[in-house]
Amino acid sequence: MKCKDFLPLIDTYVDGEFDELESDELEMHLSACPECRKKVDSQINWKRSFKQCLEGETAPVDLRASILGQILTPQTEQQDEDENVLPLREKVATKKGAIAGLSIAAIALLSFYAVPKFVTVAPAASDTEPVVEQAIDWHTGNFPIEVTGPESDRIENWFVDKVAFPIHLPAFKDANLLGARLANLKERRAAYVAYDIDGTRLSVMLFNGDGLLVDTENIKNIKGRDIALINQNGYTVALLQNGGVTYSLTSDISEEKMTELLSSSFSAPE
Amino acid sequence: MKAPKNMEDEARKELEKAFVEEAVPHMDALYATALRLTKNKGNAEDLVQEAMLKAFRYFGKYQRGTNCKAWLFKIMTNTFINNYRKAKKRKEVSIDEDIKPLAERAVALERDPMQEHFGDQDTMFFKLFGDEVKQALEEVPFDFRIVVLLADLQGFAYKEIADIIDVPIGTVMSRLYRGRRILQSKLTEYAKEQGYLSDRVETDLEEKKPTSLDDYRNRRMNG
Ligand SMILES: [Zn+2]
Repeated sequence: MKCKDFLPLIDTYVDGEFDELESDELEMHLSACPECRKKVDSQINWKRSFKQCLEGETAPVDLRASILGQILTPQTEQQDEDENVLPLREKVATKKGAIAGLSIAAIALLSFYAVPKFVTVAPAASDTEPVVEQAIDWHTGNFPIEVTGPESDRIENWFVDKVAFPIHLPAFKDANLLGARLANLKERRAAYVAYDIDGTRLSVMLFNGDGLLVDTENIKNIKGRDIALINQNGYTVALLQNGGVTYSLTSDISEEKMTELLSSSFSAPE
Repeated sequence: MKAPKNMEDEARKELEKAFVEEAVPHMDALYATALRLTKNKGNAEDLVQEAMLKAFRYFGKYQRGTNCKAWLFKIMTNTFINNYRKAKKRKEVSIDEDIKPLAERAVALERDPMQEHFGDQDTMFFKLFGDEVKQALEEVPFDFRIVVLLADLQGFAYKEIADIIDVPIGTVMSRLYRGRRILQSKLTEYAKEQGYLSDRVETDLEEKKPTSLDDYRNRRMNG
């Protein structure tokens, strides 16, 4: 093979379209011809740089939420009748401060004493499923944010007179705190907090998980803490307790990625 | 846990689950490509949304476990082309040369920049001109741009690209070859304008074409 035969084949060769025998023949020429080798390297370089330059654009979280919101069936039964519960598709921010609950003083006390003490997610039955389903609904629904990030203090303060438990937002590595709103899980008032990690949305919900039971086979011990990891509808949902509050984390990342996220953000219990 | 109300609900849930597992993970790839097709964020979002909703509607016809990514790209590419045609009809004038037939827009290449390898300099284009690469790509006519994006951004094989855009493999090869060189010559121009490359670059006026796989294989058989 001569250079003039090889040159028109460079693209096809670099694109990996030749079979093994054919490639062998081309590589024989390449090993003997530094000129063509250089051109092949140049083309490989080009392809790699082109990809690097254009990849890494991730679909905006809003787009993702909008598409999934139109595709997935919402779980709205029962909830609409409860006037203390937000309709899932509600478009407007809710009444602020109209929530019955503890006084600000009582909440301050609560958050003071609720030092991050570890409570095992009670092992046993299968009461988690509605919680997991609803956590995914909140994650995929395109609900308006009522308080915007990125300052976690601002969001934690906003919830003070709205929920009856202390809000301590976990700090995730490389995460952008988008904002938060009131939500509900199993007719319990919950805080919904949205993060963006490298273009992937992570939804964290905080709620009172008293009486919440988790199937033992879903429980993993991560850095001394029992965490329930559940895969459903392509989403990974993690449930854990921290400082007497139950946290759900929902995202479409792998279980390993979720584990990584959890071990970096929740310190080991005392 | 509530039992599903009826079979229909259950089937719908199954479909949603399969779609979330197989199709949704490709949304970022679709978006990255849509950005370079539509040339702006809003239009790219609209295109991805339209394609994904269409894909969900037809998802019952998609054979699970086959090439979902290629299937989604085919839907998105067709959606894009159809929208272009509609836009053209509405305006009664061509928006840009993307919609002219191929024969009317042969792009004159003075030389083949790929054959004048720049050694270490070819990665320089990308380092120096991140935005210029995007801009140069926008100037590459659609038929060429789409194959370069499918091959070099998404890593599809020739056969997959042929299926996505409904042309023979030979056409994929020649468009890819030409598309890459149009883009490279545009970047060379930028580099010269900016003074990163000297004006004196050996010109290779001979028009080179990729050898078709069949020709190559025939020659091997006979020679
Ligand atoms: Zn050679």
